[in-house]
Amino acid sequence: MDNIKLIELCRQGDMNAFNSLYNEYSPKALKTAYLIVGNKNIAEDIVQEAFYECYRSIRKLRKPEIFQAWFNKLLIRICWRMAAKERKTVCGSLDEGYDENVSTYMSVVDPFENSELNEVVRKAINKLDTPLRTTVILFYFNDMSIKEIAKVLNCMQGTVKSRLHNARKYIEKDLRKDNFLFPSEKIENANKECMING
Amino acid sequence: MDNNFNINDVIRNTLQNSTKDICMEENSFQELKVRIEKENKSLKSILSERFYDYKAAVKFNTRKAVTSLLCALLIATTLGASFIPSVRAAAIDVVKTYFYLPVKNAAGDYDTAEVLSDVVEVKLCKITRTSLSDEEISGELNFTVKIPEKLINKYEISEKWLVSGLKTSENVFAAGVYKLQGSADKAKFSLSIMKSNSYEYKQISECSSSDINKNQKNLRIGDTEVFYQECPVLKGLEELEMQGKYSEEFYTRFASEPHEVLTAHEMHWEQDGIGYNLTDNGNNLSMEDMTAIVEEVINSK
Repeated sequence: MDNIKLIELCRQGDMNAFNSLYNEYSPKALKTAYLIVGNKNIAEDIVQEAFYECYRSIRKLRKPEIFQAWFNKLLIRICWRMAAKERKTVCGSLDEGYDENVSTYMSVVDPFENSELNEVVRKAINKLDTPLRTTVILFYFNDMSIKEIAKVLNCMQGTVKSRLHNARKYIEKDLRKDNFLFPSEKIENANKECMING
Repeated sequence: MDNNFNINDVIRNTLQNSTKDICMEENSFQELKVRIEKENKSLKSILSERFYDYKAAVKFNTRKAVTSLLCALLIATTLGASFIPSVRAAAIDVVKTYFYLPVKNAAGDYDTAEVLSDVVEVKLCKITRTSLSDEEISGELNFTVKIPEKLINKYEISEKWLVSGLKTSENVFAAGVYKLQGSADKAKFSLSIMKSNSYEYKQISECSSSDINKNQKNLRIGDTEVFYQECPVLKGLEELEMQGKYSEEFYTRFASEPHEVLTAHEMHWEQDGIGYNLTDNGNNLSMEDMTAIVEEVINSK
């Protein structure tokens, strides 16, 4: 069924339509929440709470076409609230790495050398503060545009851009600290070596 | 550019891989459904539906409460202070405006006295010069204005004014008459013409018996009764009039600035429903000359 029709039915209180909506959006919502708070159990609670709020407030949503952004706003707000409430637990888990129960080591084809690089990036993202981390997650994981992120986070587009820039800078810094170099840098270094040896 | 592309790819892949094994539990929707149905039956939900967002309605907003409290305190303090006599006096002192009116002193001479604007409601009038002919002015005023261009072969009209800002809807016509002969004899006077039933003429006729006036006399020129008196007038009256700093209320002249007071000579009379007022504005025109002018104006009809 078309998403707009689904949302219209949800607005009328149709539980089956809401079930379909849940099945469609909950997996991505869970992953987003997990990336923000770093704990699967809390992420599940957040998704439950977000959909509960969604069911209660969907009547307020005037334009069904902006459901995704509206729902993300709801989700992020709950994530931040829960993260603030569970700060100690979340910080602990972030410092130690994500849930051990969940396999975070990837088997996908890595663009660079090994899974070590991903681990370093993951830790670098975890070290970012909540607004920066959320911006990175919405941009890279949810594939949202800067304009959409600005609406979801209720801030200026310039703020989103600067957060992304800063986040990238921090991650790059961590990568360099762990001796990970980018291809272009490798070429530059190789050229330098050639010059010295030559 | 190349660096950015790589770091973007790395971040994207890392985030995807980190959540690869994250999935919802199978019965999660059932839990949510039970919660919704349970809540639907509760009073909360009824309130929520009826009042849209009852939580927001009952939520105690600290910032709003503090702001309201401070505003209430401010209003209460202001109200309280307004009843304290010293505060009231200070407030009046800040906003009070003084006007100056001529008075007769113990010696019988004229002087100015300072009055508060709230003692007498003063309405300043504005006089504008006009270059209209007598016929055009008559059309403007709805009554006939007819005065000789030359009076007793010595005085001729040099300026004409229309007075606005008075209480009646009809304007008053005034003609400035200047003596043109000889620089040593600079006597000048004005002649005002208005409807005899107008507010302005009633002011002149009813208040002519005021204590402030001197040497009041009733004269008879032909069939017309003419009233003569001496009264105070502010020096530089024409300038004050032109600047809108002058007012005439109940035949008492006010200025917004302190001014020297002169003794003016006035004659007013009524003829064919029109009221006339001749005054020398303190320029010491002789009573004989004034009588001759009045006679000429009356006879010109």
